[in-house]
Amino acid sequence: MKRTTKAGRGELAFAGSLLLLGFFVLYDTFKMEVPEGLAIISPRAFPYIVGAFLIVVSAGLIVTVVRGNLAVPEGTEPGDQFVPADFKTMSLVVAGIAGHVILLEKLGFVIAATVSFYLVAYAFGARKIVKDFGIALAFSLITYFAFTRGLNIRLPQGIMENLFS
Amino acid sequence: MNSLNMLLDGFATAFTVTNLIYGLAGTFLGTLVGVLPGIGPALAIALLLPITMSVPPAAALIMFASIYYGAMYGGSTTSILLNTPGESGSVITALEGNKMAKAGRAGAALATAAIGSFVAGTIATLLLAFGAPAMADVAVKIQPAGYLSLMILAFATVGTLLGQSMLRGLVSLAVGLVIGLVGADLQSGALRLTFGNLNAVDGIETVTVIVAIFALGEVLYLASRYKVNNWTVISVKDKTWMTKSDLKRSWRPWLRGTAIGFPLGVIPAGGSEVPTFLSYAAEKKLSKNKEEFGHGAIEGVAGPEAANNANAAGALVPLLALGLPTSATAAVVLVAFQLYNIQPGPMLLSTEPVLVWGLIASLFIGNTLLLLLNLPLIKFWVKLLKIPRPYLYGGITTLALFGAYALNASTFDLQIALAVGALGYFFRRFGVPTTPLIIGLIMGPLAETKFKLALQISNGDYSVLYAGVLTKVIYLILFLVIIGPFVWNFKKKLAIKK
Repeated sequence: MKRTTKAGRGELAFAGSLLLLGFFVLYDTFKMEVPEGLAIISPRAFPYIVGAFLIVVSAGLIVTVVRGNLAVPEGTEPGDQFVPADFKTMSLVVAGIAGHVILLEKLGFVIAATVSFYLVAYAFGARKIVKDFGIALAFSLITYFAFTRGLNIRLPQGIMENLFS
Repeated sequence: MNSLNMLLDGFATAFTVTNLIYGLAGTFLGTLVGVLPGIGPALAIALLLPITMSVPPAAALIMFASIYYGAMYGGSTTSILLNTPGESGSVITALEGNKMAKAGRAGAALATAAIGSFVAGTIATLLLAFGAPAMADVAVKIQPAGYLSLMILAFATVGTLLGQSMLRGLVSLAVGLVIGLVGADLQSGALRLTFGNLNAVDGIETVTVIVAIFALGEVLYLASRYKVNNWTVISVKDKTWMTKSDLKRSWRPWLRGTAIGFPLGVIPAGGSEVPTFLSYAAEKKLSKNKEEFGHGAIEGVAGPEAANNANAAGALVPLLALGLPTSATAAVVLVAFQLYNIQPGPMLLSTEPVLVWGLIASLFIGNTLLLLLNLPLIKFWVKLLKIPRPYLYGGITTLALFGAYALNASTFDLQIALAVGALGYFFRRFGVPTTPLIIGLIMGPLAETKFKLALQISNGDYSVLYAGVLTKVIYLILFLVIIGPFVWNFKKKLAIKK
């Protein structure tokens, strides 16, 4: 048996949480309130199968990882040097997405979209504040008007939307 | 001859001004997103699914089909000039195509890819026009239990043939099935995995999951490898046309690629990776210029590109005739049908003939438009490759958030998107393919419906699930699909020991 490396521990945690999810599906199905007398076939049967399936495959994955058969991350070759995740860049991206989620219904689509565009661009190395903000704003405005005017899709309005229409 | 008449009617549908405009827009958008690294055809269609709320079905589906074909053209451009394939079917094209580009033969590589795609696309669409009705005629007779067995076979092949290991593909499938469970059970109304959240009662929005796992997961993953990634665009110096000898070396691979790609699209073989690889292997074996392989052999571009396109058309056969998607993109097209409350299946051709034949006819038109648009516009597409990465990823993220939100106008969907985006990151990090998750998510609820239907017919007797001849044959195939690779590996090990 090979010694599990740092990368292996992460994968074990990943497979382990999927195993737990499988058990949770079984538990949730067991606890489920079933309205009586409606269906011949219990609504429990299919979830039990799915839960059991997830347990079997994630247990299999744990065994595979413990035996030293680690995953090859996407876009790399087996034997490439292991690169630890760049958490700083990632958290900026997450901040951009979360910012959008929080702001969307409060301040409207254009501001929320400008925030997510700018923060993600910043994460990937954009450092010209005025130009980057300008592009983020222009992109958000074009997206907003293309979808709301062109394709009749409703998006939350805020100050910016009213200013431009 | 019936199919031929229906097809001509289809052309009448496709040639209306509205539908032509949507078709043209689709080919343009499809090529655009195909060229942009990081967006594949499945994501492109998923992002545009909210338009189903305001656009009539024929126009929207024609647009989606054009995006499907267009993205493949665009994808080959990216893999030839950039060596970062935009979608899985173009991975093989990058092998020889990028080498050709480095040797100053980018134009010839692009031309053989484009013309090969056109040839393969046209032949395969013709086969689709005649194959889908034939398959539907047989499929009408299939019982729910038989359907269920077909779905399980599709699950198994999509799960096991994709990615690095069978197990990781099945893990992805299982997670997709679990996400598909969330919400109220259709028959009894019993709530499953909702955690008492009212927003979850209607289930998790499929479109949100697709957009998040493809786009947000990809951007997060690229962010985690921010320092490692670098790419250089090779400029096109020669004319985008082929010499006589290029043509002579290309036409056979085009036809062979079509012959390999189409049937492997019809049977669930897990997308375009297998057929493109098989085509590449065949060309390498048959070529008179073996020494060129690995240094930019034109056969290695022509064959796989044709296989990729024929495969995409082939995947539409089971989608239209059985309602079974065999690739991520086909699965997303299925969702588009469902948003219009249309369930693809054997009855589709008789209940919605105008729609289906309009769609098939528009594939011919789209394919021709792509050839006419793309070779002359190549300079424009190359410019797109030079969009600075920060803006590209900023734009992809923002569009994905729009796509995740717009269908239900719900912030709950956005929270789901963030969570699924994180899941998409872990999948990429731990080598788990994402396509099986999408297939499981979309097909899981359909499989459960067939499961219950079969058991209702038999009054709860579980033996109905494997009683018929069809089900027995299919479960035998399933057994071979799962056991096959083990036997293969075992034999290899024995051979090595000797």
